[in-house]
Amino acid sequence: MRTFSSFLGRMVETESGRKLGACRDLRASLGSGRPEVEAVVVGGRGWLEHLGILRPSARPPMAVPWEAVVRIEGGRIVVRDGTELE
Amino acid sequence: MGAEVPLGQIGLLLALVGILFAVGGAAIDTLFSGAYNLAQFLGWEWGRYRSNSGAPRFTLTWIVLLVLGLGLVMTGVDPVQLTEYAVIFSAVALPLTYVPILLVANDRSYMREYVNGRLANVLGLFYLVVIMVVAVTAVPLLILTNAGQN
Amino acid sequence: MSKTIVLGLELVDRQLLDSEDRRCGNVDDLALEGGPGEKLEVVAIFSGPGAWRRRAGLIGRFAAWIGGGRVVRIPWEEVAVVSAHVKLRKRADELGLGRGDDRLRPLIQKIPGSDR
Repeated sequence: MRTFSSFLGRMVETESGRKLGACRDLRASLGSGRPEVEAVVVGGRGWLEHLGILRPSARPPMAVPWEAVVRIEGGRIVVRDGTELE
Repeated sequence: MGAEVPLGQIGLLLALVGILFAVGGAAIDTLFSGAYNLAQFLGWEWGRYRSNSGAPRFTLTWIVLLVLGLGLVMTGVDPVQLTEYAVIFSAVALPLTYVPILLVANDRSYMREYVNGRLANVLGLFYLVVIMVVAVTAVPLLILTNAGQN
Repeated sequence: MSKTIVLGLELVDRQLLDSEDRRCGNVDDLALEGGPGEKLEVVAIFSGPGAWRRRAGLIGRFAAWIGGGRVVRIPWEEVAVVSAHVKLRKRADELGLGRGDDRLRPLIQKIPGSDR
């Protein structure tokens, strides 16, 4: 069992070490059952950007799909090489 | 000349009663403001529409604040100077009330088409900087100028 | 029909309402089950000062200590609706929530006029 808070702040990196940014949030789909996590929301410039103040308000937050996550260890969330922020 | 003195006494009485109501009303506002802040932040039940026993922790909060306020006044501190300090510390707290409003104004899911555009955010951030400068310098300036005595 | 939400902004820190619309705390953290390569689901809500310990570093641990350190785990099946608040299916006392208010109520009721 992981807590939501344990995800926050972990650096999202590819297997070859390319840093994509820190985990700021998780995006999930809310249906009739339990919410299922779809993506890890990544913030480059800190929480002001995540909260929408320093970026053009038309652009949704950048994230990596949950399927791209390979493992979670230490202070990192490791994703497959070639994953890009969408 | 005989009519001036009774009028003066009545006038003084009216003024005192008026001050009592004004200060009492302000005290109630302040007590509830503090209790609302705490209860709403922590997710407690709050508000007068629930009756006192419907919102016990909220009620206890404003009672405690009332006791603390009374205690402070009964120490005999100079009320004008106390007010000056209170205003300066409320300047320190300014960013904490400003930032949530700026955040909500940028939240598209609340504001929909009225969400902040670039101009609003540029101005909003500028004023945020101003407010933060004020908040950070308020207490040092208080100390440096010895509360305006220098 | 499903909706996409961002958990930290739209679920965490929201007010909890019980089945009678009583306010009984906030969503302080979430329990997730699953992992890389499989589904990751929210299985429960954590509410209470004890949940602050993990969230805000040193200040969080201090606040948790002052608040008494209790955490209530609410299985996701107890959630009825997620909107501006999170509405639950049962009453607060059935879920272990709102205990602070319940404990203080007898004390406050001793004050004359407290039922108005």
